[in-house]
Amino acid sequence: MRNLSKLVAGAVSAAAIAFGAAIVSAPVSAGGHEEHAEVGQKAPDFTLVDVNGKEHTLSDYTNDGKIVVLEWFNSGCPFVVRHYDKYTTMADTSAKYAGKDVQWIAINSGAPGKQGHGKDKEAIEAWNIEYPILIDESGKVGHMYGAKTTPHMYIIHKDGTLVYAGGIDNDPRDSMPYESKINYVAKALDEIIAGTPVSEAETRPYGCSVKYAK
Amino acid sequence: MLGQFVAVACAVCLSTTSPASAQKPGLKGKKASGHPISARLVSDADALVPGGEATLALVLDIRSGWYTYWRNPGETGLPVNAVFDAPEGVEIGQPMWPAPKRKVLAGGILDYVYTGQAVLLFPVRASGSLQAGAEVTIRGSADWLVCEESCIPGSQEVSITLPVRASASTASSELFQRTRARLATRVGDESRVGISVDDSALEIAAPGATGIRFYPFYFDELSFVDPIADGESDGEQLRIGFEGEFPSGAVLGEIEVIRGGKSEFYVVAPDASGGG
Repeated sequence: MRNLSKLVAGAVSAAAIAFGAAIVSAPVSAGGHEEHAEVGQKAPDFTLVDVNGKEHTLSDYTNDGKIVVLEWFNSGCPFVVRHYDKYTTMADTSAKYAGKDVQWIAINSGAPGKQGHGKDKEAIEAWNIEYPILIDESGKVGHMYGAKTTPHMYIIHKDGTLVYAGGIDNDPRDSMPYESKINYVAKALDEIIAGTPVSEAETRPYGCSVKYAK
Repeated sequence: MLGQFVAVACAVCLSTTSPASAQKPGLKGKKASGHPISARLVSDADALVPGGEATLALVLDIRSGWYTYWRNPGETGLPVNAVFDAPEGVEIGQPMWPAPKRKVLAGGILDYVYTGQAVLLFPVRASGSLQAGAEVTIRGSADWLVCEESCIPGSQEVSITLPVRASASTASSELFQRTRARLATRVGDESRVGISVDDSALEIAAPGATGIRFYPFYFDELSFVDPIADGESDGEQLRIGFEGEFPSGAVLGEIEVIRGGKSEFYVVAPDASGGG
């Protein structure tokens, strides 16, 4: 919940008003999108265009029997660099499950002029990225999912349910050997494929902030 | 998970080398000419006294416009981390973190940060076995994530050498005073600050206050509903909703109470302070 709770902000401001705090003109602000992602619920559908202009719709993949992994991406963020360059976490994990009905999708919600914006093609080349990177420069889909960090990971089951939201692993400081880290996405995918519930469905994501438009 | 963010002090973080080494040129557009943080160690005492105590400050001087992170960094970032290699006869305790500032980023992301300078205080205990006349060198390594628009990881080795003497003079310099002034204490007088908690919200009441800021700690099983809007109040009261399990007996975080133009800092521990 914690990562997604921002989006229910509007409702709760009402409580603050009841308490008598000098009536704020209810800051429905940034979180005011109607649909929002919540683990255990149907994942909000979206259509975005990739760096080559091709449209991708989430429900097309799930209707096609795919489990979808969403990865919030910014090639300029050192935490992203860690998982593409120092380690090959994203390449390894996406490749491991590619033959198991898993579609990996990266999303860049950075606004024009912000770090990483417009650099996705370079990243694809430099890091041999084999999955699409979708462009979300308005931040609409990022806000819908409550994506805060790069990376920030989500898994959508074949039936369209959001079954995982959180970090790529349990080692924000990069203090463990690669083999000792718990890769939460791989762990969840193993469980999903085995038909068992995801044991850690929400973890704390870590990384740079998503470079949203104001 | 929790441990990594809260017990950032020492044991957990053994031999972290700088993640900066992870970066290769190519994708990064430009390289900054110098790192935005430089670190140093400062002691409040001019010597260690056998059997005595002192305080070390890890000081990170931060370039204007940049910031680094509190023990709970918020929704992004990483807390400052320090690991010490204490010599025989010297014990270094857990860090004391002065209260941070709130920083709301574009798109509604809330972080807890330090600007200008980040100072962590470490209690130092000298064993009675230390010999007067000797010298002691304390070495440490600090690492952090520093951000402006973009973020850069950094790390630096720091050290300080202190003589061992039968007595020492402790100068409470402006640095230490300023830092200690932002350390939260238990609420002593409940007529000045009331903390209470019900099933779904935390309430702070501070008569005469012109502002209250809440700096929560991080819990896996508890989340605050709208910390951007509700974690800050311009009046005498602050109410912030939460979801999930209230960790019994836990310190939920810290508050800053602004009263008469001055800030006071308190630990938010509803059970212990008689609320709830």
